[in-house]
Amino acid sequence: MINSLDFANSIPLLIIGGAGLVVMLLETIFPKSQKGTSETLIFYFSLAAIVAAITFSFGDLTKNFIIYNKFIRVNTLTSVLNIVLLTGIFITVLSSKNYLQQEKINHGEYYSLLMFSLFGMMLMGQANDLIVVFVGLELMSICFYVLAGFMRRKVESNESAIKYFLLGAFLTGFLLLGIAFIYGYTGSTNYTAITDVHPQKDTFYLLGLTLVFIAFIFKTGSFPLQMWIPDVYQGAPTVVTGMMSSVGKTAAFGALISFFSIFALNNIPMVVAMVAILTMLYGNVVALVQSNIKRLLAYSSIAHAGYIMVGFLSINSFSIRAVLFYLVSYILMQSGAFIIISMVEEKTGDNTSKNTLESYKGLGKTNPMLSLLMTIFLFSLAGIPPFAGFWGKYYIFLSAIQVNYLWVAIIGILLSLVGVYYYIKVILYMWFYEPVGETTIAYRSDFSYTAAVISVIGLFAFGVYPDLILRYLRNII
Amino acid sequence: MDVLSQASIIFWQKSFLSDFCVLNNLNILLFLHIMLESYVPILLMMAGAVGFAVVNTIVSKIFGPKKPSSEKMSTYESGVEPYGTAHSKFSVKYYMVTMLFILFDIEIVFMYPWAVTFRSFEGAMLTYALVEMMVFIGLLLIGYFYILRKGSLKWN
Repeated sequence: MINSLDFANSIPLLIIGGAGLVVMLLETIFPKSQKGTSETLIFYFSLAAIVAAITFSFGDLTKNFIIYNKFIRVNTLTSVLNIVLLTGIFITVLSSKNYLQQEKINHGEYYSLLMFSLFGMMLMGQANDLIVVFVGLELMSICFYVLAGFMRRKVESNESAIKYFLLGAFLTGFLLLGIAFIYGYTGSTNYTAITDVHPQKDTFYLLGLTLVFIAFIFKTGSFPLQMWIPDVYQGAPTVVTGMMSSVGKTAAFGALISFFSIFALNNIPMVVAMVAILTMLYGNVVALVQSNIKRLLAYSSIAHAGYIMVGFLSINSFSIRAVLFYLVSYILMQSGAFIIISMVEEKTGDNTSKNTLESYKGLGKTNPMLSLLMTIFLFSLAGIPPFAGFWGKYYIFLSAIQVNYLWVAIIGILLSLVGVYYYIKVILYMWFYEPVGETTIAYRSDFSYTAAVISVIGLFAFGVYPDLILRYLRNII
Repeated sequence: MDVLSQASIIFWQKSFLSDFCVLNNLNILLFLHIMLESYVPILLMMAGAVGFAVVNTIVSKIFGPKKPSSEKMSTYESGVEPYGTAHSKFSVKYYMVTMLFILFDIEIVFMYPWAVTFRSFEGAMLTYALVEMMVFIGLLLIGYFYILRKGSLKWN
């Protein structure tokens, strides 16, 4: 039975789930004539709910409970993950308001869907049962399908949504079949019960683990199943792309950490190493020839999934810390870069948006502030100090060296040097080229600027003083 | 070599059966016997279903009277006179109503076993079961309120 202690230890989850419902009701209660009022109200309400949830998550940092009939865990790892996810969505909400108005898709459902997907992501991280992982993953994915097709009058947005939906639904089958095999062998889907069973090597048990791992490979966009990423990321609304590529991936990696530690998957380093190296190789090499900035960052996000995968070579407390540190910096720089892209978006005659690299030529002369922010995000993505992206890569590769996989670290560092080329190319276009035609800024928004500045401050603070994050991560067992 | 690649090699080299028992002919026969025995009722059921359909079709084809008319030969549309082509566009409202119907249908499917077992509960469990179902219905009510306000059920 559920008692009051369960509710007291899951306040962030309840706040976000409740906020999604309230936003949905707020959208319907107001008549169409008061659209402006309801929009503002929903915007500030969402921000307030997220801030409240972050505050309560900080209180959960020292807890270690298994609640709701052993379905949900609350410990340092899940609380840190919650804070990271909530911060990512906070930045997204902040940068969405004026973008939605400019694209004329300012419906309240957007915030409601964001909240529900956030609820699913938090559920995935806190899950203590494979079925809860499944429910969380589906809740997140279904919201993402709708959000990707949110510009419903645009063909590209619809294409993105339908591609994502078909592939995502197909890979959900893999996840469920894997869970069924694991259940067939251990007799339970519960993490606590499975660890008590001490599963041995059995063909069907390993088949189950493999199928679940494949589903996670898809959701994190790692090598053999990465083909959907560029198409989906290009067509989706830009702020949604920023959210999917940073917060969505973080949630999938967060669930993967629990999956790896519960099932003690320390014995497949070669599989993980191959996935990681091929992901880094594919992402970095294909990104070199992209001429569309959204596609370029989509391929770069594939490469980043590869770097994070290196942390899963052998899961221990150090590599978990390294992965979490990387995810924190990755959320800040990736969503930050997409905020800038959403503002530079160039409109062509037939209302399709162009995001060519050409439109970044000479941006430094026309919009120095915007270019400066973008430069910082790109430097951080490339892994150049003093930004947090550098420390993320440092800890990830250090964790590989610590478990005697020096060669993986060397390949990773070499491939990240390849990545520097295409990041620097954009920076060169911005500062050292003359403007081509007239570069128009799609919209000006204090909210989006604030969100970008928050990301930059975070990147700089964590880059100069990484202990700000590490002091919380040290409690993770 | 790590466990997964080892396992996959074993997986491909041997058959599925070899993992369950020692490989010899007697054990395999025993295994097949046990496995197949539990499927006998299902196989009988399938044979019965297929046989019923095939026999009935053939029998009525052979013995049934044949008096064709234009009425009989036209497309059957639940008794209504057919008009237009089959490839016309449907309003999105049809799909909306169908989806909502399935949603609330499943709500009833959940409520039915709950209602049956509800009277056997006692004390705190009774309140608990009641509150749980109220929360479930409440969540669905919010969704219902939303679609009502959005005008999904309006037919214009």
